[in-house]
Amino acid sequence: MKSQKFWIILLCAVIVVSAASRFFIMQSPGNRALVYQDGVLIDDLDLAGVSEPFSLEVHSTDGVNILSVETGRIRVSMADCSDGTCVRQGWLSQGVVPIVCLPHRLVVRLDSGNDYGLDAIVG
Amino acid sequence: MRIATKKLTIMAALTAAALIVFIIEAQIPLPLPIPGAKLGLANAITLFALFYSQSGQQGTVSFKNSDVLIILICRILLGSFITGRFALLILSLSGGLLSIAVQIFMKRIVTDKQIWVCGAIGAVFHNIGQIVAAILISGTPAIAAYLPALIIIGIISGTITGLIAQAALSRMKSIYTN
Repeated sequence: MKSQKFWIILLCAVIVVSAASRFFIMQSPGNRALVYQDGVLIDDLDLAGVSEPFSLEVHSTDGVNILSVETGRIRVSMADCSDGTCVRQGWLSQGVVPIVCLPHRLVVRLDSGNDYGLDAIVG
Repeated sequence: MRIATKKLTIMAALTAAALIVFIIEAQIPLPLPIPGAKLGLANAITLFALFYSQSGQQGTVSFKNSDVLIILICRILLGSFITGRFALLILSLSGGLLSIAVQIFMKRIVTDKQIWVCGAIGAVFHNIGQIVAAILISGTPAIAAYLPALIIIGIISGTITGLIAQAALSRMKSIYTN
């Protein structure tokens, strides 16, 4: 049996490593937004080339998400999913952390156009 | 036979309790911009059942690992029927099953005072199972970028639910020994 101290140190170490790994996945992968539904690429937007903000509706069998696109950034502005987590994820303008709507299986992520990014790391 | 009936009753009561907690929690999403992040209070019931062992006049009632698995699967299936979130069922199942497997293993190496550790590590693996399932279903490996945040949230929420189970079990023990 391990002591309480052992477990506290172990869990704190895992928290520190997890928090640190955040910095490694913060590099900006580019300015193209890729919209996936059920793993299928349904839209490819060049965010740098957007001059007028516009909205985009994405329908799934379970509901609808509305994407707002502005110069250099994209977000989910409305969703009728059960948790609304995708709306709270806010604007996506840099980094490899995607916007995810689990109930509607929708993913919005940034890409530069080459293979550099999380795909290359995760495989 | 008497013991079997008593055990079945307690299992049903625990499943009902877990279901209530699960449904209430589903109505109050955490205000965090992280998919899949939640307190997971129903896991407190799973932990309670896993570490539950009570001696009384009618013999000892304790749950086998398979009994705890039954409680968990009933809760996940019924919870999904009641909340109507079938899209999330496969995520709940993969997270729940990976978590229970790890917690059954953890049970051998922790003491009565370390149930919270079991809860924390179980919650981390729940989140890992869920993310892996989400990656496989959506075919989008980029979702893995949420793993660090979900591991940290798992440790915090799992410690809380684990401490709840631990406190409930130690209260029960003092009631039955007095």
